[in-house]
Amino acid sequence: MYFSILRLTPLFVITVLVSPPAPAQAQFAGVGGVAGPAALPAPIFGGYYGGGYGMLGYGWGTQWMMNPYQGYLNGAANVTTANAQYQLTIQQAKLAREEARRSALRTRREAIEERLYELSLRPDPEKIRQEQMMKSLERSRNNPPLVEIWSATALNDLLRDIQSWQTRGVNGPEVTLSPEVLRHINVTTGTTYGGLGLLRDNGKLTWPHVLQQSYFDNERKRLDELLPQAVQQARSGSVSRQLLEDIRAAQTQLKRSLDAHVADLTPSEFTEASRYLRELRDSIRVLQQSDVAKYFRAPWTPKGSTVGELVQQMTREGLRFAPAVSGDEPYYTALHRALVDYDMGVAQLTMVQPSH
Amino acid sequence: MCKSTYGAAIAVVWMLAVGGLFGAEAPVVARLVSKDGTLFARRKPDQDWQTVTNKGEIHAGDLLVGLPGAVVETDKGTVSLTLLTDLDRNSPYPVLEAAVILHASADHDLDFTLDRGRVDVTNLKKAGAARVRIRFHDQQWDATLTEPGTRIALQLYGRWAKGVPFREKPGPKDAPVAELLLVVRKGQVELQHGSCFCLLSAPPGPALLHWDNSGAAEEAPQKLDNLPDWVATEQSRSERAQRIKDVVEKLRQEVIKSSPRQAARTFARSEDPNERATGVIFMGALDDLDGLSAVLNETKFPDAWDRAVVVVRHWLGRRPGQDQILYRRLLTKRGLKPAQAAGVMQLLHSFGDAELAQPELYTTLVKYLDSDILGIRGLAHWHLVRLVPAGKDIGYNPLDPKDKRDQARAKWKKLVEELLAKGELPPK
Repeated sequence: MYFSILRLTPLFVITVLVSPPAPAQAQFAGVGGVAGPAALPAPIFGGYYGGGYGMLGYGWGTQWMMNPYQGYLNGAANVTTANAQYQLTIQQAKLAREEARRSALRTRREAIEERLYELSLRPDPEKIRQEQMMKSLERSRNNPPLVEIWSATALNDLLRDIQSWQTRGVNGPEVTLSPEVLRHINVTTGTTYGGLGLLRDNGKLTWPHVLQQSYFDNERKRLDELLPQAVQQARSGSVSRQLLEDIRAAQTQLKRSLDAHVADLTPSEFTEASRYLRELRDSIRVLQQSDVAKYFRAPWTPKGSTVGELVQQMTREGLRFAPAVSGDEPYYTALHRALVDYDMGVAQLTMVQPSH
Repeated sequence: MCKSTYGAAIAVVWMLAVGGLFGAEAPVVARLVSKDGTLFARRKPDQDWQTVTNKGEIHAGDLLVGLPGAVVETDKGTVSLTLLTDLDRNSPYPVLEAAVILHASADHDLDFTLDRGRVDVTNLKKAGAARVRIRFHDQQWDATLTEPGTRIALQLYGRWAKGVPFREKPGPKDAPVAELLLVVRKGQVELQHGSCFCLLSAPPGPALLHWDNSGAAEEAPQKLDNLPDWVATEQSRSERAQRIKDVVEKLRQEVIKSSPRQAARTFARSEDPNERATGVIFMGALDDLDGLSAVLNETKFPDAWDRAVVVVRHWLGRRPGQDQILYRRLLTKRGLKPAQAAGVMQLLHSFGDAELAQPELYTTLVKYLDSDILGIRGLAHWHLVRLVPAGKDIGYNPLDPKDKRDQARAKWKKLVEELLAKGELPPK
């Protein structure tokens, strides 16, 4: 019995090998008409599915008994399982190799990205400068803080943008400017922080109410006397050293006098007076310039009936806006509005005509 | 002759006595239903505050200030008025206290002036509508709370807007901004004000009405899907709300033991910061300017000083003319020169954008840290720490001796100069 069974074994093996692999549970259920277990325990882990059932066939006292056919079938199944396991191992190795290749590519890409990331932190300096200018321009167009309008920062941002368009032959809409507005606009060549400012009216100062108080009479009268003389000298070339020193001394004395009377003034009064003296100091600095005479001549006085004309003049003379002095603020705000209107008009024109 | 003269004299005396005793007595319009010591009444500004007891009578015309949760009911029990506050800091306006004046009215179940703060009005009738007249500033609104249980929340707040300067001689437009919110919490309300008539209902529905004294506010009710959090103040369960309730209860007990004014002053001197804050706020509510002045001149606690400034600013914003009262007081009672008093008042107002854009403002404030006038140097510092937060740890205390103040002032000077040089001041 044992012998004959052994002789039959190759046939079984071949039959099983050419048969498509089937799940272990199906093998038990249908081969040779042998009834398998009516109800198999549910698998706990998929990976132990086949091995688990195979083990059930051994030993006494289990749920069912194994006959000889089952032994052959079980052996054939084990061969199939081994074969499948081999194929699986091969496939897994291929997958692992592929994964390694992908990983290497990913690593390389990430290295490149990392490099780009590093570079992104230090882009082209010129690009940085242009980006900053663009940001600043956007801020200046969109309702900037008053401090930026009155310090002329916003006006100069817009001026630069309009100049760049005019250089390319693009002119914006007609935005008219009142002569009264221009009369209160200060310009500079950039060699000083401020322009003529308070000295615009031939050196005749318009003192704020707080500095007209009797505490400040002496210094105020002294400056009222000296500054027109200085402007007169400046118109014809330069201001004498002695006169400049006298002006500075009077200005310093006035500042001291103001500080001494801080308790007699409200915070608003003190702030206003301090601001006026700072503007006076900046204006006096212009008197020390070698080219001071030009500040009093026509080309360096803002002119033009429209924004376009004003910008053309400033481009021609190499001027830019200087900060507002006391009393100029509303005019600076009006000019800012006009520059924004012009600049936005240019932007719209260029959107309509992309060829520019 | 003699008899008739005596008779006439007796009659005159009797009439005067009756007039004095009864004729001047305003009618009772409501009773307090919350605990003793939750409501305080004053007939005239120069009179002292009286603590209203539970079930105590409330007379028409009295100014009533309430602790949060004080409840009064009209004499016929038809409408209740609850005085509340902002316990969770979620209110649209930072109300500190509530004050009302009740009026006698034959046509309304409740007729009252909302002087300031947050109140709720509820229809307590078993059936039918309750008619309520609400007065505030120059307004007079008539609300019909259509059914029993209908409840509305009101909040009135005023303050000087940013950048509005103090003026010694104010014009008609020199007034603080005032805003009122009305929210229907439950039921429906028919509201008439001026020529406007509108129907409001609890959320979801047209529940909110906003008014302000600029005349620009919308007059149409706004739809709300839910009740705003600030409305359900009495249901606040936050840690902050509980802390405030605990301190307010202690204050109530202290009021019963002493008097409203004395309790506020005792609390303002407390070692506990919550009690100090409550005491200072209560002083403002009671118009105790002497008490606030004492806090500003004597307190050893910077937080109490800071709180007192906030309370005085709230006090100034209640209605036009408050700043003139304080200004005159600084001249007469404190003996300040006009420029000094005007300086204090300017600092109690605020700076506008134009002033904030000037570098000199910051150097001026630093300079004023050296002022001999406590109010000026303290308020200069109060602004500086808000405008230049980088200096808040410098530790300047306006109440310190001069040498110590000078050291802190030197640090402020250095900081402000550095920030100005770097272009970080004025702030952009």
